[in-house]
Amino acid sequence: MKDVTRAVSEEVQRERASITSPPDLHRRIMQRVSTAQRPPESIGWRRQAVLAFGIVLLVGAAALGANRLRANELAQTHATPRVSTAPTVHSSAPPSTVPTNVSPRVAFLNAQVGLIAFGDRIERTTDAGRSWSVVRTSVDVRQFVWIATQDVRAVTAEGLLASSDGGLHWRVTNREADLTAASFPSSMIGFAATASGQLLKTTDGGETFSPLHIDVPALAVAFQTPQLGWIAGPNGIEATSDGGTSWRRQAAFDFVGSLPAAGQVDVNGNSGWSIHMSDAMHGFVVFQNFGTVAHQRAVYVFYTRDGGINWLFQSAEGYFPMPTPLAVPRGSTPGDLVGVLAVTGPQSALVLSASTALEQGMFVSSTVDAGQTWHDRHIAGTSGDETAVSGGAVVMVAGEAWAIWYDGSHAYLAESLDSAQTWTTVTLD
Amino acid sequence: MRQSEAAAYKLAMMLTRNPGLAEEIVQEAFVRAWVAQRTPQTYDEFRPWLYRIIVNLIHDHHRREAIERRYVAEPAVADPVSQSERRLDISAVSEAMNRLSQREREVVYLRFFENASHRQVARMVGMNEVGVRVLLHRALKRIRQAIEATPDMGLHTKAV
Repeated sequence: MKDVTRAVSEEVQRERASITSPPDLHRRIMQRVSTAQRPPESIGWRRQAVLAFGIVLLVGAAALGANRLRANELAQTHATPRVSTAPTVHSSAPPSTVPTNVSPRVAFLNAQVGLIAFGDRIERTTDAGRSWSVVRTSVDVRQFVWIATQDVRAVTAEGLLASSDGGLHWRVTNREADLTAASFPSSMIGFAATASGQLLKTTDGGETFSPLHIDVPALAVAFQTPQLGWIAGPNGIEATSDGGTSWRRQAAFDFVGSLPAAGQVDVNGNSGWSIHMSDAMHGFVVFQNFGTVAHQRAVYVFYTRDGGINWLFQSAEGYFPMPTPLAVPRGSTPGDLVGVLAVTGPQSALVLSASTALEQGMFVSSTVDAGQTWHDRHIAGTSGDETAVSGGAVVMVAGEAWAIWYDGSHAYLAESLDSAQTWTTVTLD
Repeated sequence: MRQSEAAAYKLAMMLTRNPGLAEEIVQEAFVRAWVAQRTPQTYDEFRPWLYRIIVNLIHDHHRREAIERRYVAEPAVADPVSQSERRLDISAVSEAMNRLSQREREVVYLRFFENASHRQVARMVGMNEVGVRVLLHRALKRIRQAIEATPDMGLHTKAV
């Protein structure tokens, strides 16, 4: 019988090796899965009560811990010597009371003029990043929005800041709390999403906001014109063609269970959602689950080429098990997305990620086929623990690219002069 | 993940011998994994769990087919040319395995597909371990008998 066993085993293995799966099997599975609805998880009232009590205890403990952590971070920020070659021109603001921004941001108007936000400050360059000047402190920036050459906004944890001289001077236009993202199709008309999923509209450049009625929570917003815009959130994508008066549903999701338990944004103000339209027809919607376990920190990439009539699920590699990590936009090295997607063309985009698997360090991944495949480029090592890389951003303007991230103790800026092919990195703080 | 997909497809293909059906079953298996409330959280647990879904889906398919056959009495006509062509590269072992019952085939393939233990196979097919051992023993015995009955294709167990 042993010979039969061996013969059968060999036959099964031979047969297994002779079968090749269809080349687009992965894609077809993902498309099918993306249309499937997850049933809501139901729990009994006893478990709900226990859970609620547990949450109260945890929130109390977390608040206590956060205060200690914040004190430690502030102490560390001021004690850490600056090793960047970038000169500090002035720092007239009072000492910082804002916690260290662990999700640094970068935005460039053109290849010369750019802004970065890290720690508690905004710095500006006018020479393609060779030197930087501190232009604002005590601020926790979540997004820069460049509207015109001189006109730029900063979405912060404390409200909206505006600059009318290209980011040199800033003033608070509005203290609407908990803004997470904004889109300004014109200097006066803008839309902003709040941490609670509300969508606000301004017609006076951000001085005042009024809420708009939407059917799904908006955690990301993108307007191509004052009339034409899209919002995205855990329940789906909606679009308007009349400036936000009426909305139509373009896609339905069920990601609510994957969101941070405490709310719809994490402690760094990241909602995990971003939407980028390169024109009225082409665009990406990206959602990252900020799970605490590596395999839960997954990324979902959707793409449209018809203005959102169809949002295609664009998958790449991902960890198992499902359902959380459906698609991580990585080519070969699974990692965690740390920077929101930078759209560089109708079908091309960059993303910054930190990897703890295979090759460790920071990567910029690029796609030229709307997110179906990604090419990874290792841009820097990290000081040790890649899982501590909590946030960052990547941007490309006129063939020059910048990536910024925070690795738990320092902020780093990497620059590429050859369309994100080769990179050099400096430590910012 | 793609490894899981490829392996799942291969298993489905081996158990169904039908590329279209195999893909349909794999797609459905992943959808079920997606909507499941308690998806196993480790890769090692996930794979056999996925295989069990595949086996169940194949059972469902055969059940549906059996019902349809009751109402559509159209005998399937085998293509003699393709049958004979196929037979040329099929070994005696493979031939013998093809003659097993659906349940026996499942147990044999699941046992040797990834060298699963009897206990793992039992979980995948929803039987107890003893039942799997019995079924496997019976299947291997039938394969041996079939091979020995095939001229010039017996197992060379004795030194020549």
